[in-house]
Amino acid sequence: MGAMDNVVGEILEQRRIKTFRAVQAIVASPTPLFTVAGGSVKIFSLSAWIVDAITTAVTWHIMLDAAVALDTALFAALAAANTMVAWPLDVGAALIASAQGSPTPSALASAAGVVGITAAPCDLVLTYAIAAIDGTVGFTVEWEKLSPNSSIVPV
Amino acid sequence: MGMKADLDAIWLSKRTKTWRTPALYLVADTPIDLFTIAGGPVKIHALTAYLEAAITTAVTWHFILGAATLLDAALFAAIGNADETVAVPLANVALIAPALGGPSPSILATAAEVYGILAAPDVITLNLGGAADIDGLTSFCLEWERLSPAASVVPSP
Repeated sequence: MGAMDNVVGEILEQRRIKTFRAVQAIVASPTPLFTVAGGSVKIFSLSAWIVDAITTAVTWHIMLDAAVALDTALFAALAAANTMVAWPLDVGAALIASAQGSPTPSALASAAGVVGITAAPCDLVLTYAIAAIDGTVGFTVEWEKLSPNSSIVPV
Repeated sequence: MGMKADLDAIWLSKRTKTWRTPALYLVADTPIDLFTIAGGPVKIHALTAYLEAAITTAVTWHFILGAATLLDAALFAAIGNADETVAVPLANVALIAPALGGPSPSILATAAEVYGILAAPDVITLNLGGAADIDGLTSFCLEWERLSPAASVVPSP
């Protein structure tokens, strides 16, 4: 590579990345949202954008594979259209109900001292219970590589 | 990836500052649209006011996202000297009086554990209280990142 290519390549490799999972219905539980591959990553935020309202009394929950919970437990996902949820990334912190504007990290994550997590290759998996999710939701994960070949892609 | 694709990826993921040019604001125009978020959600890191000229009257101000999300606790005296800044806390905590320099996030925001917010598409408005207008030129800067490729923030007309 030429000098400019090297500079651009290094910036590309070192930058904080936002990977977006397109707005869509969620029709199965569990639903893999993102796949971490190739090496470890540092995740700064995971957020949901509820585009169409969730009107049924479903609950939801996200984990790394089936092992590491990113929130305390299944939590009411009822939400108005065009609202946001910040995942706390911590098993000790509950989800906070969606709102048009919502602190990130969530206030409960910050209170628990969690402003990011490291993650080994795995899937970020959404589960839900009680009913189907009747709205549409986009997800964004904000992350950095901790290894040159690390990647996160939407499933 | 080629160079163009690399630069596009860097561009889309960068932290952006959108600046609203200095203006005077009138009570009669309240609520005043400051910034419009469109196309997808964003992460807002800071909203800062810069008093380019002194605000000498007892106007109060207040910032809101959309219809209901308070970016500060309440109407607050906006009196300030020229060349001072205000860090809007982005949470339901009080604004801190303008100063030549001040923490960002504000110390009341960090005390409330708020370092930034997620925002769905809508408008950030300035609401003025009392009878007076803002008589000093004031500019605003919003520091933000895309959470979706099509997300944008522009100064509202």
